[in-house]
Amino acid sequence: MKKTAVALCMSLMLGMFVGCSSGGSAPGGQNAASGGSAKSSGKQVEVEFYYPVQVGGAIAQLVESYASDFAAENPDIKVSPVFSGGYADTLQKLITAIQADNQPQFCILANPTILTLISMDAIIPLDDLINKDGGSEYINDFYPGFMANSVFDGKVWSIPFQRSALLMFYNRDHFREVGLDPEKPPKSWEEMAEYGQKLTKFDQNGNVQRWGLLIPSGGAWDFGPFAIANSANGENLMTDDGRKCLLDTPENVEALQYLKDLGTVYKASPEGVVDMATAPANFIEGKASMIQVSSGNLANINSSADFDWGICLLPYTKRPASIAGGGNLYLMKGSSEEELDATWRFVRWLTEPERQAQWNVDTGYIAARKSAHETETMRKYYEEVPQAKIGFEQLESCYNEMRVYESEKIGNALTDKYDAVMTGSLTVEEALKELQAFADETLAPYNK
Amino acid sequence: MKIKKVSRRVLRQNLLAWALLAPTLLFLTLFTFYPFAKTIVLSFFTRNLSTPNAVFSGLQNYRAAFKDPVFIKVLWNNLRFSLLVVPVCLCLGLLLAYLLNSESKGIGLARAAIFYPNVSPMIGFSLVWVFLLTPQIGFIDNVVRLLGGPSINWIGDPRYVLYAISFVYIWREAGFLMIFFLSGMQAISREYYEAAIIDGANEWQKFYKITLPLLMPTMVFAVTLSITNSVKMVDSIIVMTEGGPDNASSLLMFHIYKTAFTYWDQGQAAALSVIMLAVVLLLTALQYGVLDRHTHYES
Repeated sequence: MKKTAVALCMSLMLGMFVGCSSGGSAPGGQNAASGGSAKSSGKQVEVEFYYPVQVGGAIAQLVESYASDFAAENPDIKVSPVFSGGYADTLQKLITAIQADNQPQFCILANPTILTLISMDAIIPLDDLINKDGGSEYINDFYPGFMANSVFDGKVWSIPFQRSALLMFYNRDHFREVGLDPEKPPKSWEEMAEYGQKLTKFDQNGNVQRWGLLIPSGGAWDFGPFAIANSANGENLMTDDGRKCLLDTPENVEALQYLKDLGTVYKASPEGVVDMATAPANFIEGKASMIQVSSGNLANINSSADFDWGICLLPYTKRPASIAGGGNLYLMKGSSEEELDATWRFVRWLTEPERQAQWNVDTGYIAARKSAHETETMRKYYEEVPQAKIGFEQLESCYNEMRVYESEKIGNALTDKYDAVMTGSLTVEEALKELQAFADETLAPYNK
Repeated sequence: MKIKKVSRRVLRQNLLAWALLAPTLLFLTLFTFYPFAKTIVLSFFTRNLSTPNAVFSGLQNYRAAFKDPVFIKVLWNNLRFSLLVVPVCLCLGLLLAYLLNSESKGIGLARAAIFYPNVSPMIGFSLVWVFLLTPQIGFIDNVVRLLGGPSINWIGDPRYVLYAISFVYIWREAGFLMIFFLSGMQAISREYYEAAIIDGANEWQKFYKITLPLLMPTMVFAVTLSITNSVKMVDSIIVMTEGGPDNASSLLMFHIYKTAFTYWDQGQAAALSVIMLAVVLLLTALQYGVLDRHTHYES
């Protein structure tokens, strides 16, 4: 009896060991198999990539259909898209894959991630590939506002893909209701505060029924336009080499104070912290008259809003400014020569003007290439949704999103201090001073 | 001759014990002991974005942790959170178990309803709570205002956010602990109660003199579980607040997660993990020392 029990245990354990070892070697085995078939069936190269879905919608189906369309045109290349959550999840998945030496050929990641990827030695510069195929004609066709974050240290590190800009959406019906001209949206900060105040509505008990203005508190992304519009010489929140932050300037103190005053002094916005996700929902429900959000919300607002709405350039003080957001295509280190060529062919195919135009129409992301906006597809789109044209105009004044080393750490600290100011636990001066000290300390290893 | 026979039997018994325990030991080694040892080693190294190849730095990570105001805030948050949720969850779990420990009709449904949060996906219900707690459009805000109360931004205001998180946590955890108390109560022999009724004991005496003492082994387990769970809490925070505003709802596990997988400061994250482990071990040891002495285990 006991002997059978021992034997049973042993066989169980053996089974487990076998299970473990076969499980562990599965990816390697697969690679070996695909490598083998590549040789026998006449060089079918596999290109794997991770893609995030940051704003929802039908993006997953679109990306999958791109892969199969491309495969139909290019039978020698097999494209395998892997859905990987949001931008942050995609980065985590990628780093895990790199540590297991099993990384994909390319990834779609948030555009400020560039310096993190360079620090990790995870990506390759693309200049050689561009010179070989496409040249300056290709790369100069991308909007400078979108390219700015791709160029670092004189090299091109990524190709703009699903790009967006911060825009202001406003409810034209509300404008008429309070006697404002919907053809004349606010241009300056004073006008924005004044209009916001006019548009805010209270019930008889003094409770707010509708906010004139909602600016989500997401940190660098939302504060950026205010800081740049007001900075002395058009400086961003960081230097171009990403090694220093410019946070506690008197101009930034003014900008942040203005944002706080919108709630406390003008009563045009809620006091405290505004969640990014709830702003578009409030706008669509008519509970907010003006919102500053990503152009990525355009498709949703266009299909859900049952009132007359418009888009305007972000109001400013010294110069018009917005932030270019969204994701780029990064090529990972470690691909073979054939894989690299196949990847580049797919990247070129993905960014063809006509495809970019259709992508813009389908998703609301702004097509990153100039020639895409001259296609028939885009002409029709602008006729149907004339508001989208403003998004295109805002590109002229788009700046880099927080491109600094340790951007995750510093970006999070900025969000924390921003929250602390909005909730009243720190004054604007204190917050920016503490933030600057934190950024200096965090960036010290990069300035040795 | 005799000795040899005995030792062989002992050997055989030991072998059986080892064989039976080996699978567990293997998995514990692979997924607990080995990562644990590696974490301790890593906590003495600097390994982050600016130093991708680990460099030995002694106690630097530990010093940095206690110099970091965010970490101090997180420790303080977690202490407040645990002190609030552990007693509430235990009392509520015990009360629910007591109320549901009967044979009445529909009691199964009531038990299922209270346990339900533990079998539904956490991401889903956390998101539902975000919408319930959102000012202006949220259900809770509307009810409070209807009753004449002020409009409160439950998860956007640093004064209230930890309570909002605690509430959602208690809503889930109390039902979880209830199951243990309930099974503990059902294992208590009825004869004790019948004897007590003959002696004229009232409900409170029955509970205090019979149920509670006989429930102590379950209690030791439940206290340990709820303390460690309150330090391990991370999922609802990720979905509901991301630790904000200004770290007001950031707890230990979430802070470690962020340090490791958002900031990629792996040496620092390892040091924080070791500190958290020390805290949990200390609490558990302390509590076993106190509670266990007063616990009678039936053999």
